[in-house]
Amino acid sequence: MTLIFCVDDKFGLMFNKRRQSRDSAVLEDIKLNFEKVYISAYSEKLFSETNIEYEVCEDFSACDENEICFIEDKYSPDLLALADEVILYHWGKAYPADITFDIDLLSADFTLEEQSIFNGTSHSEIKKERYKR
Amino acid sequence: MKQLKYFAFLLAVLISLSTILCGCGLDLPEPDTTTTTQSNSDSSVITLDNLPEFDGTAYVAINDNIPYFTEDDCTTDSYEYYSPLDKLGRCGVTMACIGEDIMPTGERGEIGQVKPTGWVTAKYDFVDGKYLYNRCHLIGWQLTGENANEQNLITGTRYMNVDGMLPFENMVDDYIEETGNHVLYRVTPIFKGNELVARGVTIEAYSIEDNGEGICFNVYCYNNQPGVEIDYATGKSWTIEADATSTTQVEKSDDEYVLNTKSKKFHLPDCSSVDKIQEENKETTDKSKDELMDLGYDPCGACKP
Repeated sequence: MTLIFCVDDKFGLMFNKRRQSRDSAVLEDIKLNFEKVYISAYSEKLFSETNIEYEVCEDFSACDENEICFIEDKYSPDLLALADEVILYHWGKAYPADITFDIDLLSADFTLEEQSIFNGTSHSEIKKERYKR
Repeated sequence: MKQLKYFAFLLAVLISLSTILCGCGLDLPEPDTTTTTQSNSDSSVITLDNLPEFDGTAYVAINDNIPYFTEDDCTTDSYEYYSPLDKLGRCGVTMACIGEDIMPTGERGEIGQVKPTGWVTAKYDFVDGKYLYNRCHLIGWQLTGENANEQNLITGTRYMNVDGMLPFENMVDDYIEETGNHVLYRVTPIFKGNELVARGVTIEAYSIEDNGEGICFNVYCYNNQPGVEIDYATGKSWTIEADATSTTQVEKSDDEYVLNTKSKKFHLPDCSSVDKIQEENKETTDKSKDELMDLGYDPCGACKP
Protein backbone atom coordinates (compact mmCIF):
# COMPACT_ATOMS: atom_id res chain seq x y z
CA MET A 1 0.00 0.00 0.00
CA THR A 2 1.18 3.49 -0.81
CA LEU A 3 0.28 6.27 1.60
CA ILE A 4 0.39 9.93 0.57
CA PHE A 5 0.60 12.75 3.10
CA CYS A 6 1.08 16.51 2.93
CA VAL A 7 3.10 17.92 5.83
CA ASP A 8 4.38 21.27 7.01
CA ASP A 9 7.81 22.20 8.34
CA LYS A 10 7.07 20.45 11.65
CA PHE A 11 5.32 17.47 10.09
CA GLY A 12 1.90 18.86 10.94
CA LEU A 13 -1.07 17.45 9.04
CA MET A 14 -4.29 19.08 10.24
CA PHE A 15 -5.56 21.83 12.53
CA ASN A 16 -9.08 21.99 13.97
CA LYS A 17 -10.25 19.19 11.66
CA ARG A 18 -9.13 21.11 8.60
CA ARG A 19 -6.22 20.60 6.23
CA GLN A 20 -3.33 22.95 6.81
CA SER A 21 -2.94 23.86 3.19
CA ARG A 22 -3.64 22.81 -0.35
CA ASP A 23 -2.03 23.32 -3.72
CA SER A 24 -3.38 22.41 -7.11
CA ALA A 25 0.15 21.47 -8.20
CA VAL A 26 0.13 18.59 -5.70
CA LEU A 27 -3.14 17.31 -7.10
CA GLU A 28 -1.71 17.60 -10.59
CA ASP A 29 1.30 15.58 -9.52
CA ILE A 30 -0.94 12.87 -8.04
CA LYS A 31 -2.93 12.77 -11.25
CA LEU A 32 0.24 12.36 -13.30
CA ASN A 33 1.55 9.50 -11.19
CA PHE A 34 -1.43 7.47 -10.05
CA GLU A 35 -4.43 6.07 -11.86
CA LYS A 36 -6.69 6.00 -8.86
CA VAL A 37 -6.50 7.08 -5.22
CA TYR A 38 -8.49 6.16 -2.13
CA ILE A 39 -9.55 9.09 0.01
CA SER A 40 -11.73 9.76 3.05
CA ALA A 41 -15.06 11.59 2.86
CA TYR A 42 -13.30 14.70 4.15
CA SER A 43 -11.07 14.81 1.06
CA GLU A 44 -13.86 14.24 -1.43
CA LYS A 45 -14.68 17.89 -2.08
CA LEU A 46 -11.02 18.59 -2.84
CA PHE A 47 -10.79 15.72 -5.30
CA SER A 48 -14.20 16.32 -6.87
CA GLU A 49 -12.81 19.58 -8.24
CA THR A 50 -10.18 17.61 -10.20
CA ASN A 51 -10.33 14.87 -12.80
CA ILE A 52 -8.40 12.44 -10.60
CA GLU A 53 -10.11 9.08 -10.32
CA TYR A 54 -10.89 8.45 -6.65
CA GLU A 55 -12.92 6.28 -4.34
CA VAL A 56 -14.07 7.23 -0.86
CA CYS A 57 -12.90 4.79 1.76
CA GLU A 58 -13.20 5.27 5.51
CA ASP A 59 -11.00 2.33 6.50
CA PHE A 60 -7.67 2.54 4.76
CA SER A 61 -6.41 -0.54 6.57
CA ALA A 62 -8.79 -2.53 4.35
CA CYS A 63 -7.08 -1.37 1.15
CA ASP A 64 -5.05 -3.83 -0.89
CA GLU A 65 -1.29 -3.72 -1.11
CA ASN A 66 -1.22 -2.12 -4.56
CA GLU A 67 -3.63 0.64 -3.73
CA ILE A 68 -2.84 4.31 -3.22
CA CYS A 69 -4.29 6.17 -0.23
CA PHE A 70 -4.28 9.94 0.19
CA ILE A 71 -4.49 10.55 3.94
CA GLU A 72 -5.67 13.76 5.56
CA ASP A 73 -8.04 13.40 8.55
CA LYS A 74 -7.64 9.64 9.03
CA TYR A 75 -3.98 9.58 10.02
CA SER A 76 -2.93 6.86 12.41
CA PRO A 77 0.62 5.67 13.10
CA ASP A 78 -0.76 2.12 12.81
CA LEU A 79 -1.37 2.64 9.09
CA LEU A 80 2.36 2.92 8.51
CA ALA A 81 2.79 -0.71 9.49
CA LEU A 82 0.68 -1.64 6.46
CA ALA A 83 2.51 0.57 4.00
CA ASP A 84 5.39 -0.42 1.76
CA GLU A 85 5.66 3.05 0.27
CA VAL A 86 5.09 6.53 1.67
CA ILE A 87 5.02 9.76 -0.29
CA LEU A 88 5.43 13.01 1.58
CA TYR A 89 4.70 16.38 0.03
CA HIS A 90 6.40 19.08 2.11
CA TRP A 91 4.73 22.48 1.96
CA GLY A 92 7.90 24.26 3.06
CA LYS A 93 6.01 26.51 5.48
CA ALA A 94 4.74 26.32 9.05
CA TYR A 95 1.04 26.06 9.84
CA PRO A 96 -0.88 25.45 13.04
CA ALA A 97 -1.22 21.76 13.81
CA ASP A 98 -3.02 19.51 16.25
CA ILE A 99 -2.48 16.31 14.28
CA THR A 100 1.10 15.53 13.38
CA PHE A 101 2.80 12.91 11.27
CA ASP A 102 4.85 11.60 14.16
CA ILE A 103 6.60 8.60 12.64
CA ASP A 104 10.30 8.70 11.95
CA LEU A 105 10.27 6.91 8.59
CA LEU A 106 14.02 6.46 8.50
CA SER A 107 13.88 4.68 11.84
CA ALA A 108 10.91 2.58 10.81
CA ASP A 109 12.51 0.48 8.08
CA PHE A 110 11.90 2.99 5.29
CA THR A 111 14.57 4.40 3.06
CA LEU A 112 14.39 7.59 1.06
CA GLU A 113 14.32 6.46 -2.58
CA GLU A 114 13.60 9.66 -4.42
CA GLN A 115 13.36 13.35 -3.80
CA SER A 116 12.22 16.14 -6.10
CA ILE A 117 11.13 19.76 -5.91
CA PHE A 118 8.48 21.45 -8.00
CA ASN A 119 6.73 24.82 -8.00
CA GLY A 120 3.32 25.07 -6.43
CA THR A 121 0.57 27.54 -7.17
CA SER A 122 0.46 29.01 -3.67
CA HIS A 123 3.78 27.55 -2.48
CA SER A 124 7.05 28.65 -4.01
CA GLU A 125 8.54 25.16 -3.73
CA ILE A 126 7.05 21.83 -2.76
CA LYS A 127 9.40 19.00 -1.90
CA LYS A 128 8.26 15.50 -2.73
CA GLU A 129 9.87 12.52 -1.03
CA ARG A 130 9.27 8.87 -1.82
CA TYR A 131 10.11 6.35 0.88
CA LYS A 132 10.18 2.59 0.34
CA ARG A 133 10.24 -0.10 2.95
CA MET B 1 -8.40 55.58 3.14
CA LYS B 2 -8.92 51.96 3.98
CA GLN B 3 -10.93 52.95 7.05
CA LEU B 4 -13.17 55.00 4.79
CA LYS B 5 -13.68 51.90 2.68
CA TYR B 6 -14.71 50.03 5.80
CA PHE B 7 -17.17 52.66 6.97
CA ALA B 8 -18.65 52.89 3.49
CA PHE B 9 -19.16 49.17 3.68
CA LEU B 10 -20.84 49.46 7.10
CA LEU B 11 -23.16 52.14 5.75
CA ALA B 12 -24.12 49.93 2.84
CA VAL B 13 -24.96 47.15 5.26
CA LEU B 14 -27.13 49.44 7.39
CA ILE B 15 -29.01 50.78 4.40
CA SER B 16 -29.71 47.34 3.07
CA LEU B 17 -30.03 44.88 5.90
CA SER B 18 -31.89 42.56 3.61
CA THR B 19 -28.78 41.98 1.57
CA ILE B 20 -26.73 40.24 4.22
CA LEU B 21 -24.53 38.20 2.04
CA CYS B 22 -24.05 34.86 3.64
CA GLY B 23 -25.55 32.33 5.93
CA CYS B 24 -22.47 32.42 8.16
CA GLY B 25 -23.19 29.10 9.81
CA LEU B 26 -21.47 29.97 13.04
CA ASP B 27 -22.65 28.55 16.30
CA LEU B 28 -22.36 31.86 18.06
CA PRO B 29 -21.70 32.01 21.79
CA GLU B 30 -23.17 34.45 24.26
CA PRO B 31 -20.61 37.20 24.81
CA ASP B 32 -18.82 37.09 28.16
CA THR B 33 -19.25 40.49 29.71
CA THR B 34 -17.22 39.76 32.81
CA THR B 35 -13.88 40.48 31.20
CA THR B 36 -11.42 42.51 33.23
CA THR B 37 -8.92 42.74 30.46
CA GLN B 38 -8.23 45.90 28.49
CA SER B 39 -8.38 44.75 24.92
CA ASN B 40 -9.59 47.88 23.11
CA SER B 41 -12.01 45.61 21.37
CA ASP B 42 -15.74 45.34 21.10
CA SER B 43 -15.17 41.62 20.64
CA SER B 44 -13.56 41.26 24.04
CA VAL B 45 -14.74 37.91 25.27
CA ILE B 46 -11.65 36.43 26.85
CA THR B 47 -9.90 37.17 30.08
CA LEU B 48 -6.27 36.58 30.83
CA ASP B 49 -7.42 34.93 34.04
CA ASN B 50 -9.19 32.25 32.03
CA LEU B 51 -6.27 31.49 29.77
CA PRO B 52 -3.71 28.86 30.68
CA GLU B 53 -0.30 30.12 31.73
CA PHE B 54 2.29 30.11 28.99
CA ASP B 55 3.90 26.65 29.06
CA GLY B 56 6.13 26.81 26.00
CA THR B 57 3.31 26.35 23.52
CA ALA B 58 2.97 29.32 21.21
CA TYR B 59 -0.84 29.38 20.97
CA VAL B 60 -3.93 27.90 22.51
CA ALA B 61 -7.41 27.42 21.06
CA ILE B 62 -10.22 29.38 22.68
CA ASN B 63 -13.99 28.82 22.51
CA ASP B 64 -13.35 25.45 20.83
CA ASN B 65 -11.83 27.31 17.90
CA ILE B 66 -15.13 29.01 17.06
CA PRO B 67 -14.64 32.70 16.30
CA TYR B 68 -16.87 35.34 17.89
CA PHE B 69 -18.11 36.80 14.62
CA THR B 70 -21.77 37.62 14.17
CA GLU B 71 -24.01 37.06 11.17
CA ASP B 72 -23.72 40.76 10.39
CA ASP B 73 -19.94 40.49 10.09
CA CYS B 74 -20.21 38.12 7.14
CA THR B 75 -19.70 39.59 3.72
CA THR B 76 -17.99 38.77 0.47
CA ASP B 77 -16.88 42.38 -0.03
CA SER B 78 -13.25 42.79 0.92
CA TYR B 79 -12.38 45.50 3.45
CA GLU B 80 -9.88 46.17 6.18
CA TYR B 81 -10.19 48.17 9.39
CA TYR B 82 -7.62 49.29 11.93
CA SER B 83 -8.71 50.88 15.23
CA PRO B 84 -7.40 54.31 16.15
CA LEU B 85 -4.67 54.21 18.79
CA ASP B 86 -5.91 54.62 22.36
CA LYS B 87 -4.81 57.39 24.73
CA LEU B 88 -1.66 55.43 25.59
CA GLY B 89 -0.83 55.05 21.89
CA ARG B 90 -1.72 51.36 21.80
CA CYS B 91 -3.26 49.46 18.93
CA GLY B 92 -6.78 48.09 19.16
CA VAL B 93 -8.79 45.55 17.26
CA THR B 94 -8.06 45.06 13.58
CA MET B 95 -10.51 43.36 11.29
CA ALA B 96 -10.75 42.51 7.62
CA CYS B 97 -12.62 40.52 5.10
CA ILE B 98 -9.65 39.35 3.10
CA GLY B 99 -9.96 38.60 -0.55
CA GLU B 100 -7.44 38.41 -3.34
CA ASP B 101 -8.28 41.98 -4.34
CA ILE B 102 -6.70 43.48 -1.19
CA MET B 103 -3.76 41.12 -0.86
CA PRO B 104 -0.31 42.57 -1.60
CA THR B 105 1.14 42.39 -5.07
CA GLY B 106 4.28 44.47 -4.55
CA GLU B 107 7.39 44.30 -2.43
CA ARG B 108 7.22 44.63 1.32
CA GLY B 109 8.10 48.16 2.52
CA GLU B 110 10.07 49.59 5.43
CA ILE B 111 8.42 49.63 8.85
CA GLY B 112 11.41 50.60 11.03
CA GLN B 113 10.15 54.16 11.45
CA VAL B 114 7.22 52.97 13.58
CA LYS B 115 7.85 52.65 17.34
CA PRO B 116 4.95 50.73 18.86
CA THR B 117 4.24 51.17 22.58
CA GLY B 118 6.66 49.33 24.86
CA TRP B 119 9.34 49.19 22.17
CA VAL B 120 12.70 48.62 23.87
CA THR B 121 15.51 47.22 21.76
CA ALA B 122 16.91 44.06 23.34
CA LYS B 123 19.18 41.34 21.96
CA TYR B 124 19.67 37.79 23.17
CA ASP B 125 22.00 35.27 21.56
CA PHE B 126 19.47 32.47 21.92
CA VAL B 127 16.63 34.33 20.17
CA ASP B 128 16.17 33.62 16.47
CA GLY B 129 17.59 36.70 14.75
CA LYS B 130 18.88 37.85 18.18
CA TYR B 131 16.36 40.71 18.59
CA LEU B 132 13.68 40.01 21.19
CA TYR B 133 11.07 42.27 19.64
CA ASN B 134 9.64 42.53 16.17
CA ARG B 135 7.33 45.20 14.88
CA CYS B 136 4.58 42.70 14.72
CA HIS B 137 1.76 43.17 12.20
CA LEU B 138 -1.62 42.43 13.72
CA ILE B 139 -3.04 41.59 10.31
CA GLY B 140 -0.04 40.01 8.62
CA TRP B 141 1.59 41.81 5.72
CA GLN B 142 0.98 38.83 3.44
CA LEU B 143 -2.78 39.22 3.98
CA THR B 144 -3.51 42.92 3.52
CA GLY B 145 -0.16 44.40 2.51
CA GLU B 146 -0.07 47.03 5.27
CA ASN B 147 3.45 48.27 5.80
CA ALA B 148 4.20 51.13 8.21
CA ASN B 149 0.66 51.46 9.55
CA GLU B 150 1.05 52.30 13.24
CA GLN B 151 -2.50 51.06 13.87
CA ASN B 152 -1.43 47.59 12.78
CA LEU B 153 1.97 47.21 14.46
CA ILE B 154 2.61 46.15 18.04
CA THR B 155 5.68 45.23 20.03
CA GLY B 156 5.73 41.46 19.70
CA THR B 157 8.33 38.89 20.58
CA ARG B 158 10.11 37.03 17.81
CA TYR B 159 8.53 33.88 19.21
CA MET B 160 4.97 35.20 18.99
CA ASN B 161 5.56 36.59 15.54
CA VAL B 162 7.09 33.45 14.02
CA ASP B 163 5.77 30.54 16.08
CA GLY B 164 2.48 32.04 17.17
CA MET B 165 0.99 34.23 14.45
CA LEU B 166 2.77 33.36 11.20
CA PRO B 167 1.45 29.78 10.92
CA PHE B 168 -2.14 31.07 11.02
CA GLU B 169 -1.38 33.79 8.49
CA ASN B 170 0.15 31.17 6.19
CA MET B 171 -2.92 28.98 6.47
CA VAL B 172 -5.28 31.82 5.58
CA ASP B 173 -3.03 33.13 2.80
CA ASP B 174 -2.79 29.74 1.08
CA TYR B 175 -6.50 29.13 1.37
CA ILE B 176 -7.41 32.43 -0.29
CA GLU B 177 -4.81 31.99 -3.01
CA GLU B 178 -6.01 28.47 -3.82
CA THR B 179 -9.75 29.08 -3.66
CA GLY B 180 -10.26 32.77 -4.42
CA ASN B 181 -12.65 32.81 -1.45
CA HIS B 182 -12.84 35.41 1.33
CA VAL B 183 -11.80 35.01 4.95
CA LEU B 184 -13.19 37.11 7.77
CA TYR B 185 -10.23 37.85 10.01
CA ARG B 186 -9.84 39.69 13.28
CA VAL B 187 -6.78 40.22 15.44
CA THR B 188 -7.15 41.75 18.89
CA PRO B 189 -4.17 42.71 21.05
CA ILE B 190 -4.78 41.88 24.70
CA PHE B 191 -3.30 44.39 27.15
CA LYS B 192 -3.45 44.09 30.91
CA GLY B 193 -4.49 47.40 32.48
CA ASN B 194 -2.25 50.20 31.28
CA GLU B 195 0.65 48.01 30.24
CA LEU B 196 2.38 49.06 27.04
CA VAL B 197 3.22 45.62 25.71
CA ALA B 198 0.37 43.27 24.86
CA ARG B 199 0.25 39.98 26.74
CA GLY B 200 -0.83 38.31 23.53
CA VAL B 201 -3.24 38.52 20.63
CA THR B 202 -6.37 36.66 19.69
CA ILE B 203 -6.78 35.67 16.07
CA GLU B 204 -10.18 34.71 14.71
CA ALA B 205 -10.75 33.56 11.14
CA TYR B 206 -13.66 32.17 9.17
CA SER B 207 -13.94 31.39 5.47
CA ILE B 208 -17.10 32.94 4.09
CA GLU B 209 -18.08 31.18 0.88
CA ASP B 210 -17.82 27.67 2.34
CA ASN B 211 -19.18 28.57 5.80
CA GLY B 212 -15.93 27.86 7.61
CA GLU B 213 -15.26 24.52 5.97
CA GLY B 214 -11.80 25.64 4.84
CA ILE B 215 -10.83 28.09 7.60
CA CYS B 216 -12.27 28.31 11.09
CA PHE B 217 -10.23 29.05 14.17
CA ASN B 218 -10.09 31.17 17.29
CA VAL B 219 -6.76 31.20 19.07
CA TYR B 220 -4.71 33.16 21.57
CA CYS B 221 -1.02 33.64 20.80
CA TYR B 222 1.25 34.34 23.75
CA ASN B 223 3.53 37.37 23.54
CA ASN B 224 6.26 35.48 25.37
CA GLN B 225 9.79 34.48 24.53
CA PRO B 226 11.21 31.31 26.06
CA GLY B 227 14.14 32.17 28.29
CA VAL B 228 13.19 35.83 28.66
CA GLU B 229 11.21 37.61 31.35
CA ILE B 230 9.32 40.65 30.11
CA ASP B 231 8.04 43.63 32.08
CA TYR B 232 4.88 44.20 30.05
CA ALA B 233 4.33 47.61 31.67
CA THR B 234 7.48 49.04 30.10
CA GLY B 235 8.84 46.55 27.57
CA LYS B 236 12.06 45.99 29.53
CA SER B 237 13.31 42.42 29.60
CA TRP B 238 15.97 40.20 31.06
CA THR B 239 17.20 36.63 30.80
CA ILE B 240 15.55 34.10 33.07
CA GLU B 241 18.38 32.93 35.27
CA ALA B 242 18.69 29.18 35.55
CA ASP B 243 18.70 29.19 39.32
CA ALA B 244 16.60 27.41 41.85
CA THR B 245 14.60 30.50 42.75
CA SER B 246 13.25 30.96 39.27
CA THR B 247 9.83 29.46 38.84
CA THR B 248 9.88 29.69 35.08
CA GLN B 249 13.28 28.28 34.30
CA VAL B 250 13.52 25.38 31.93
CA GLU B 251 13.75 22.26 34.00
CA LYS B 252 16.58 19.93 33.21
CA SER B 253 15.49 16.48 32.36
CA ASP B 254 16.36 13.40 34.37
CA ASP B 255 15.80 11.41 31.20
CA GLU B 256 18.13 10.69 28.40
CA TYR B 257 16.99 10.79 24.82
CA VAL B 258 18.43 9.49 21.58
CA LEU B 259 18.36 11.88 18.66
CA ASN B 260 18.11 11.14 14.99
CA THR B 261 19.88 14.25 13.74
CA LYS B 262 18.78 13.55 10.17
CA SER B 263 15.05 13.07 10.69
CA LYS B 264 14.99 15.47 13.70
CA LYS B 265 13.12 12.99 15.89
CA PHE B 266 14.00 12.07 19.46
CA HIS B 267 13.43 8.68 21.06
CA LEU B 268 13.55 6.94 24.41
CA PRO B 269 16.77 4.91 24.68
CA ASP B 270 14.82 1.63 24.60
CA CYS B 271 12.72 2.55 21.55
CA SER B 272 12.91 -0.12 18.86
CA SER B 273 13.71 2.56 16.30
CA VAL B 274 16.97 3.50 18.01
CA ASP B 275 18.84 0.46 16.70
CA LYS B 276 17.86 1.41 13.16
CA ILE B 277 19.31 4.92 13.32
CA GLN B 278 22.55 5.12 11.38
CA GLU B 279 25.50 5.81 13.67
CA GLU B 280 26.42 9.07 11.97
CA ASN B 281 22.87 10.36 12.62
CA LYS B 282 22.64 9.13 16.20
CA GLU B 283 23.28 11.29 19.27
CA THR B 284 22.52 10.90 22.95
CA THR B 285 21.44 13.92 24.97
CA ASP B 286 20.29 14.86 28.47
CA LYS B 287 18.44 17.91 27.21
CA SER B 288 14.81 18.17 28.29
CA LYS B 289 11.91 17.46 25.98
CA ASP B 290 11.07 21.17 25.81
CA GLU B 291 14.63 22.08 24.95
CA LEU B 292 14.71 19.49 22.17
CA MET B 293 11.44 20.73 20.73
CA ASP B 294 12.79 24.28 20.81
CA LEU B 295 15.72 22.94 18.78
CA GLY B 296 13.32 21.64 16.15
CA TYR B 297 13.13 18.01 17.25
CA ASP B 298 9.80 16.16 17.39
CA PRO B 299 8.99 13.19 19.62
CA CYS B 300 8.89 9.76 18.03
CA GLY B 301 5.31 8.63 17.48
CA ALA B 302 6.08 5.07 18.48
CA CYS B 303 7.83 5.39 21.88
CA LYS B 304 6.19 8.75 22.65
CA PRO B 305 9.02 10.16 24.84
